[in-house]
Amino acid sequence: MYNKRWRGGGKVDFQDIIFKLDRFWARQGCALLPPGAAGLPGPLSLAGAAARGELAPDGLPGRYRYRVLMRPAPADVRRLFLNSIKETGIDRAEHDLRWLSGEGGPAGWQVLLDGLPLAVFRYLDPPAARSAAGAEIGISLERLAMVSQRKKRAADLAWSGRLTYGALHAGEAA
Amino acid sequence: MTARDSLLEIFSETLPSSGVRPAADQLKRLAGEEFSRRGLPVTSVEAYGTSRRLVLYASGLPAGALSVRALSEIFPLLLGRLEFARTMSWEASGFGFPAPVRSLLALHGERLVSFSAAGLKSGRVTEGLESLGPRRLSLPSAEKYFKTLEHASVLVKDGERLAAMRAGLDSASRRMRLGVEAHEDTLRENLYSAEYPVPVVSGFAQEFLALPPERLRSALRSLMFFPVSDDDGRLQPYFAAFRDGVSKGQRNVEDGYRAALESRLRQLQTK
Repeated sequence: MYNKRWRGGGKVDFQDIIFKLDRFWARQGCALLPPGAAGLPGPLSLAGAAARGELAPDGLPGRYRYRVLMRPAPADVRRLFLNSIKETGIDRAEHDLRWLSGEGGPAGWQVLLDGLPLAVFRYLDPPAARSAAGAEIGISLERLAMVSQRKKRAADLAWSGRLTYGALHAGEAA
Repeated sequence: MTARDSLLEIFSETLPSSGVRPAADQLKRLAGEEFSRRGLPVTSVEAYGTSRRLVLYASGLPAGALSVRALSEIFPLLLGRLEFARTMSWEASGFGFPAPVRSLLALHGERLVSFSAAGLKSGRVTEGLESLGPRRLSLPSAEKYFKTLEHASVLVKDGERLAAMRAGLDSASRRMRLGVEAHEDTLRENLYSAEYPVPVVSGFAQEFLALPPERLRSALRSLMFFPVSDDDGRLQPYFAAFRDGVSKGQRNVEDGYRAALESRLRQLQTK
């Protein structure tokens, strides 16, 4: 039933966006971490949604992030990121995606979707001999959902079925 | 002997826009020096840059194995001599570049110029514009390079890209019967942050015209947008910009750019 709704090109709920990202990154070999789990050192690949307060400030809008950490990163990690965005119902040809150099640290980019910040993409630590750089991606889930659902305000986003983002966060400061 | 063209394309992830033209200039100068040091009969050397590639294009080398061998020595030398304000090493070879290098395309006429650098082997394959999806392009010869890339929505030559951008802004001015202020620095920034710049015209709420004009202009330029004014130089609630890629979904882009600008202008209002 879920599959039918997704394939029909209908609206993708906020929580479905998280499911889709989880499934996508799990297919790439990432371990899925529940929200709030601390990062671990050493070579590994992790993915999962998190609340902004748990992470360092990143200049992205919204209170929820989808975070991916791949260490070492595969050579096509940039393409994987773009494909993950596509999974959530966004046709790249219908939007403008820009990579602003140096905005996410010296080896990083801020990714703008139609001129608005969507994600921070950066490579981690210069690699030691015979290893490739790691990559860390932070995506604003609100921004992603607003584009996917074509909504102008986060409060109007469908979280799951009729439950809206606004109803779920009523009374909280943005 | 027939002369064939020689091509080196360094295809990477997005480069800092301010570093592209200086790197292309260096590439041209270094190649010219190396060709003349070796007494090679090159008749022209040009270098071009986009947000994702540096391209060296030379004419005059005779067809044949000798040229191919010379180029396979020269190309990696040039790569090693390029200097940037900031580089990082992205893979085990230790080669420094501002962004990860994803492919090296090297041809002399139909022949592959083979060498290794940046942890990669040179080949005859590159990619077209990213927003059209992953499209691998295999080049039959150096001479087909610019046409093949243009069909894949990449305008490699800076001059052609700039001319297309100016023409786009001119026609936007005519349509609006207003003047797009084509500031040179903003044009340049846009020129090196796109591979296929497509003009976008959008607007902002009238209320922001109450801001001092110079602050409004600088807010627009900080987002790489172009102010629009009337014959008397009075700012109008419109702006022009460029997106990278095709003109599908223009409305999404216009709305997004407008939201980005208005959020910036609201910050200015409260200051």
